[in-house]
Amino acid sequence: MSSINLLDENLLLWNKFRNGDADAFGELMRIHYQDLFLYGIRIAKDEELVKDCIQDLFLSLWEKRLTVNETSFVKYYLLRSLRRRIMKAMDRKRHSNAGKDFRMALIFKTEDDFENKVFLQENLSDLTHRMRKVLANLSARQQEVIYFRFYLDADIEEIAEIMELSRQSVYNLLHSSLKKLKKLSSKGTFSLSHFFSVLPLYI
Amino acid sequence: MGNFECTTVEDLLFNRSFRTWVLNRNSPESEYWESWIAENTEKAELINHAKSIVYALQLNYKALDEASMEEEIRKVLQKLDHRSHEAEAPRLPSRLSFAIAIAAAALVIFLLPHFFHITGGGKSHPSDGLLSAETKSNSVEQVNSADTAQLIILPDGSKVRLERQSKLTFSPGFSDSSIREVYLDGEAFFEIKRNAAKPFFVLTHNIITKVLGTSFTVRAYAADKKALVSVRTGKVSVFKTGNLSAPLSKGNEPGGILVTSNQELVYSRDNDELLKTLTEKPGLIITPVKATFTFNATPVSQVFKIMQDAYGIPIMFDVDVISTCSLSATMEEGSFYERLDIICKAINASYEMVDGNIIITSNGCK
Repeated sequence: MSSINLLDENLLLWNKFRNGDADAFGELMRIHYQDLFLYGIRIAKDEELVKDCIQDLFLSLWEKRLTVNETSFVKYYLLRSLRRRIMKAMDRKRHSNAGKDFRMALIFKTEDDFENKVFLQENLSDLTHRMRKVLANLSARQQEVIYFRFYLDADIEEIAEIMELSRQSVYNLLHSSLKKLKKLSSKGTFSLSHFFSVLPLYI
Repeated sequence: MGNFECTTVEDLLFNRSFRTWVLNRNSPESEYWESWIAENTEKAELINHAKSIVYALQLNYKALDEASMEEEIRKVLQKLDHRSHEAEAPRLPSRLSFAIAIAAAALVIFLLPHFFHITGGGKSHPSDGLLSAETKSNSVEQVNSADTAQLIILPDGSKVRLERQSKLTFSPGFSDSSIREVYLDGEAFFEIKRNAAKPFFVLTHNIITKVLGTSFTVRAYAADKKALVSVRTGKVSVFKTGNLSAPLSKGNEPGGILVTSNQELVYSRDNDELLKTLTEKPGLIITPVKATFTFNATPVSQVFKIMQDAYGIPIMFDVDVISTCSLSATMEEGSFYERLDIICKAINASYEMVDGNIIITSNGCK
């Protein structure tokens, strides 16, 4: 029920924006800003560049408001557009500072950043560490697919839309990366008995 | 939720409630997951695999803080303001209005000396006026010390968006005098009501901007080493304050530099020079017929013409050399520079910006 209401509300907002309501546009930006920023910063790693790209994205959206469609997939539309802009911006930057590496990759939290006590108590550290290695070795596209799937709850069709790939390619990317992760965890180094033998020490 | 079925790691991984719980044991879902795990002891290994993947996937960046986000949104809305103000004014088809603008500009340039010649010598001598704006005792002074921009409607209906820490001074008899003039210390965006008979002047410490009817920004804080005039639509001409008489002198505007749509003029106090360039992010000139950027074996000279009209930025190229080049591309999205990059890449050309114009260098196409 609540999801239907939410959809209605978003649609209402979208239509107000298309009619030139700047307040509604502000609200729309507020709803999507963090998702766009967090995604952007992961592929560009340059806060100013990401902010600029988001600004351009919204300004061009405003200019095109009369021709954009009624849509309930605003978020994915915005993500796709931001993705294109950032890639172009990075491409230009690479041209102007030859030699600098702008490898597109998502960065996951590093080992040192962990403050999570529960995490230590369960002694998952070793496995998590190895999983992170696997993740780091995934292609940028594989990492990106995982990001959209996990953190933005996008389904295969939506990811295909954002990344401008076929559904089959998205499926393959997601499947192959999960397979690697699962393979790692079933290698036996992390077993049920190990888990139970360690646990009481920390409780 | 009580009958959650899971047979694979993915079933858990893609369950948002599960992920939230793993990373935050105090989440409202914790009771549910704890009892679910207790009931499904045979799935413990599966659960732990899922958990470690969730841990491994924790992300390293934090969201932008609320204040910075609001600031970003404010920036967008502020730029919108400028655009929608322009959109309010009825517009002629671009080429026609461009022609009229040129005609009007020419007319004023032609009439200006005569006009001042007639009124010159009297009380309303223009140079008196220009000098007096900052010193006149009965002038109106608007200081914006607030944190946000302030909208000021001038007596002639022109609009000024005065940025923070900026001061605008003008005479209350503004609309009666022979010319319109304001004195600015700081930054403001102007939308000037067209009145060819009464040119509008923005005076600052180092530069004077003469306007016919257009929208543009002047940034000239007295403390700054640089001053800037950035034109959104229309044309202005800019003079150094040192040549105070220049904007009004007879003849053909010596010392003034014409700045048009999407061009920007920077004054540097260090070398006392005016330098023309393009605005950082050139915007499309708003026209009723929207330019389309989809090309199908279109001669490149025509593509450049469309770009030039859409942005009002002169693009120069050797017609003969590129006569063999054509372009097939769809680029409905993208900025001026992104589009220019695509075109140049496609025809193996390069561009440089000289004096606010784009110069294309190409060896032609085979």
